[in-house]
Amino acid sequence: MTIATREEKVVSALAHIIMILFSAMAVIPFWLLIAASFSSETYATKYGYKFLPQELSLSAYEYLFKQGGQIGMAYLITVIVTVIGTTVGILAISLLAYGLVQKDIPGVKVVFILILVTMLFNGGLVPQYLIYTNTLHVKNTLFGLILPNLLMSGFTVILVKNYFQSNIPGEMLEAAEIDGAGQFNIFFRLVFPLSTPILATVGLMAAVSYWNDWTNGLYYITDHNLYSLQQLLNEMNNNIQYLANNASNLGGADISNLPSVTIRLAIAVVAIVPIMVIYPFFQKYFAKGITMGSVKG
Amino acid sequence: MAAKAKKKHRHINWKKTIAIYIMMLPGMLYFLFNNYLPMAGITVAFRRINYRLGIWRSPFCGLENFEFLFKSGSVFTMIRNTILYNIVFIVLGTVLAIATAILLNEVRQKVLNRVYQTLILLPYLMSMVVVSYLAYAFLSGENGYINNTILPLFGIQDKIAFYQEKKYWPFILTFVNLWKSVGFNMVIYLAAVIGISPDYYEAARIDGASKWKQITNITIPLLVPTIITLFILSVGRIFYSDFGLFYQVPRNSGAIYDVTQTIDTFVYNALMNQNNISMSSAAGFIQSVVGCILVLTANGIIRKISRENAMF
Amino acid sequence: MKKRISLVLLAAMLATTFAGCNSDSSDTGSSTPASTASETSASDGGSEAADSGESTGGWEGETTHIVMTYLHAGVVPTDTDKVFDAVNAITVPEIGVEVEPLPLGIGETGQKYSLWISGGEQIDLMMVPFTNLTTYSSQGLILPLDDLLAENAPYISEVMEEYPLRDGSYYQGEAYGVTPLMYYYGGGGSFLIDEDKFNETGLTYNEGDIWSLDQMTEMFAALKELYPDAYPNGTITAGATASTSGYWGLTTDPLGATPSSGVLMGTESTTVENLYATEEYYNYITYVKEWYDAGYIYPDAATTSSTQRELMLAETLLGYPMGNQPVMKSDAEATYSKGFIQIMLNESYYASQSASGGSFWTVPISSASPEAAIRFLDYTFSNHDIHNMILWGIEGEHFVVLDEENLLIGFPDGIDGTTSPYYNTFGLYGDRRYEYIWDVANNKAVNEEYTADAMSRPTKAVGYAYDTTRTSAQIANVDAVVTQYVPTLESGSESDLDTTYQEFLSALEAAGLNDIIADNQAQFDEWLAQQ
Repeated sequence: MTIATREEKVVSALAHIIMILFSAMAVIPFWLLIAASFSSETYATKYGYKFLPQELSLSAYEYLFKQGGQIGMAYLITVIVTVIGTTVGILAISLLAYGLVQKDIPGVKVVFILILVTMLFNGGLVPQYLIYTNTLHVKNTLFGLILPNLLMSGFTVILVKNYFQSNIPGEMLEAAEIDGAGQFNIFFRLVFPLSTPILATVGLMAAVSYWNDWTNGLYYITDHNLYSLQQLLNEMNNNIQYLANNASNLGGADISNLPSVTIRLAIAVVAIVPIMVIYPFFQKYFAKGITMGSVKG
Repeated sequence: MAAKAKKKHRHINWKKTIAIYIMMLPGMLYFLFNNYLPMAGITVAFRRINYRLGIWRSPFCGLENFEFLFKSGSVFTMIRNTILYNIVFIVLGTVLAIATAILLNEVRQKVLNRVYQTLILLPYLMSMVVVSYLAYAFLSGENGYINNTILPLFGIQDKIAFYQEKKYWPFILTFVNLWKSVGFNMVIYLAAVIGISPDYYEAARIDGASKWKQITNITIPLLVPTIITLFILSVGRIFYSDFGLFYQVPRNSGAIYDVTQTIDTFVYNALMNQNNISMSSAAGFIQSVVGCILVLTANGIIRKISRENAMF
Repeated sequence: MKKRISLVLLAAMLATTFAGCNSDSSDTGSSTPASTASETSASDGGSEAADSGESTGGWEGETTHIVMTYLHAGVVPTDTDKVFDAVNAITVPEIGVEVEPLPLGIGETGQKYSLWISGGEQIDLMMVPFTNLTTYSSQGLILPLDDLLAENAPYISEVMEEYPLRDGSYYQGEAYGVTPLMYYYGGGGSFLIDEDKFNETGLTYNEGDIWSLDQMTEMFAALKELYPDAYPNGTITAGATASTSGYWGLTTDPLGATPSSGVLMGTESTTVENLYATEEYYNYITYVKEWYDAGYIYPDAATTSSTQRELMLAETLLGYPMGNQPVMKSDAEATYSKGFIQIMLNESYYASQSASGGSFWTVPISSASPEAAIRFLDYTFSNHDIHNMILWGIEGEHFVVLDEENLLIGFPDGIDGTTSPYYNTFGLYGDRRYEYIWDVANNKAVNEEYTADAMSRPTKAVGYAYDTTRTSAQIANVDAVVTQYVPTLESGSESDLDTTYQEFLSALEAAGLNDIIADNQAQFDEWLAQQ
């Protein structure tokens, strides 16, 4: 026993060292980002980003604040879309994955192959756009931000299916069926609670991709009241890049009040911080599944 | 496990079948609208698009849209880069993610565990545009940290023009990719690691197995199905590349195209001024077909080795 | 608690869904939104109609609702609706057209237009900025305009006899776009340098002199000595997709396409050449290399994440190459709030409209009423008040006229460019000779003089535009090669000029540039024969 504890100590120390190293590598650039966003524009351009804000300036955040209405609204939209999309997505994904592990149901294998195919082939942007705008009419609605591409992906369905397959004991489902439980009951009462680690994982993936998405906004939203945070940032970047490249063509256009580098960094900070704050709450679900192995017994 | 139990009754249980299909319906409908209906758009790769006729009535034009890919002198370079980087990313990414997941699982202090996990995930949350600014802050010749602070520490005064020198980029790109994705991949494996029943470890510990033995004999084998699935899926994307990583991070610097150009960045640079969906579909079509062939091959091989681990 | 939040979310979601439906129905051109809009405009924009003087309520037919793209730099001005209400208060009674702005960022047109049109959305007037219009015309996204213009646009039809409003928009013999009528025509290269710093060097520049690149070297050297930490030549090529050699004294005609599809060198030539293989180009990049090595060019010019404007504001750069029009100087002075000297690098000349240099008004195939669209377009040319209103807003509220003679305007008390609720400066509208200006240095007389001078030196290709459809595969490849090499070569940051240059030339050849040039020459010869 003493060997084991000593070994455990070593392993634990090693784990801490490596984790601290990795965390540092992740934090240092992020710190740089924050520091630069608080530096004065001129300083940042002239001398680059520094780890301590130089010529401390809040002008980037002031600019954002002045655009307050739009930024605030964009935040709200992003939050709404992330919450709805993630919730609905998890539900639809896990229901589908649950179906896919039922070996005694005809046609399930075909459905699985069809899902796999979606990961390999896609029809491209224009046809998808036509379906979404002309058939489903999602343009300039929240559905335009929620539905296209992000709600479910073959990847997540397969991840969840795999988890069900190897972590939910078939005997248990069998027993429940024999007891006369309906499929919905089995799913929501047994499978769902036993799968929190994978559902949290998939939920995290979905939430992050909703939070960081700007493409759906780019294509499906023209109404500025429905702009998401990333779409706003992306549009600013696009325009800045475009104007920088076409300066010569734009004789007569005063572009002096365009957002500059520090503002773009400030927006990035503003976009990342909330998800950092929320993430630890997500984490408790990662641990919950631990007990389920004993069910098998 | 589930399969074994079901062998008993061969007749179809209609009640269950209907219930299951109702449960799958929302997801299936989604894939129908989001993926299958637009898939007719694959034919765009073979058409000369005329919007006045509509994309479904535009005339077919054979392989004309594929020409630009093969006429370019850089077709070999971009395919080589795309594939090699993907192989490196898949192998190192998987090893690193599993290692991190296992190590993190060894951190028993709840708070620290969560802190590490959150921090390691940070890079994943940044957009590639922002990552490219940060990379530039480290690498630039004029104001870069490496040139101005780190190299002088080692007594090196000559500046390195990173954005002009090919030899550094395979490492830089690999580093950035791993740095950005490790947190995310770790989370995927973490779910699997956490899901492993503690009973297994308990039994091993009683047998006196060392930590390393426990990892190699219990954890890794139980992760194999996840590893294989993720491997097959990433093989399917071997002709694709993260556009932001290869375009934004090297700042589209021409001097290093030899080691940074991938199929996606080439298509972007070539079609930037043309907005030609047929030509970009053509490139996408090739990427899909190659991915499909590789997935079938990889799955076939795995099936031969161990039937139960194959995906289909 | 949780339940309540989700209810709120659901409500929000439903509300926006319905909002979406409403806007959909207005797209189909129903009369309801049109009439509500004109009611509101009548109440707060009515006085404007009276102001314009000419309003006799000339239109008796039905009112048509059109949608016009409205480009902005990232933020939609808050008063946009108000301004367009004022516009409608005039155009509805005058020409029976009610216009609805469709705002989008100027950098996103390429990503959105073809999607919108293929989705069948109503867009009647579409501004395509600085893009090769062939992309749109050859794929059938926009309508040919010749007949529409002849029937619905008397003013444009008249002025286009004299000015090249359609050049660069031709595809298979028909015009597909109309550029705004510029207040200057012609081009050439110049270098804008911080006036105070230039004077410190003791050098002098006489207005109108043309400097050689050797003289520029001399000036850069003198400035570098005074300001060792700054870079006198602010060439920034990061993200560049085309050659900027035109600023450096190379007289070239892009033949209505881009410099990468063959050019005429000088004003007398009729031979289509590969710009990059010419002696002049090699000479130019040799100078650039010399400047780079001497520290006159920003070391990270080809890759920096800062823009030229940011680096200029930080005084890391002291000057930059630009077109030689008077407006470029007054722009620089306004942007950086200091004096500039504009050093001319060649004589102004008059070339074919470069495909990416023009910004075209087009009518997409998804237009509900092309006639009304063109009628409105013509009105933005003929009614200078409407043109200025769309551009600068409502007089007295967003700007005040300081000097009607010189068309000079300024901000009303209490607002400036950053606080104005309507300040969107893209000059993309109408007959710009009558456009209000903010800086007297850029006045009408100066620009007329410039234009007359430039037009006295026309190239042989004025009016010609290369139709790129047959060589689109080669052009894609050439574009990829150009983005690979040009930013490096034109900032001098390659380590070995001759090796890189030879690589560049062979890569261009491998990409099929010779096919393009042969095709271009054949088309050009045919066109010349018809002249």
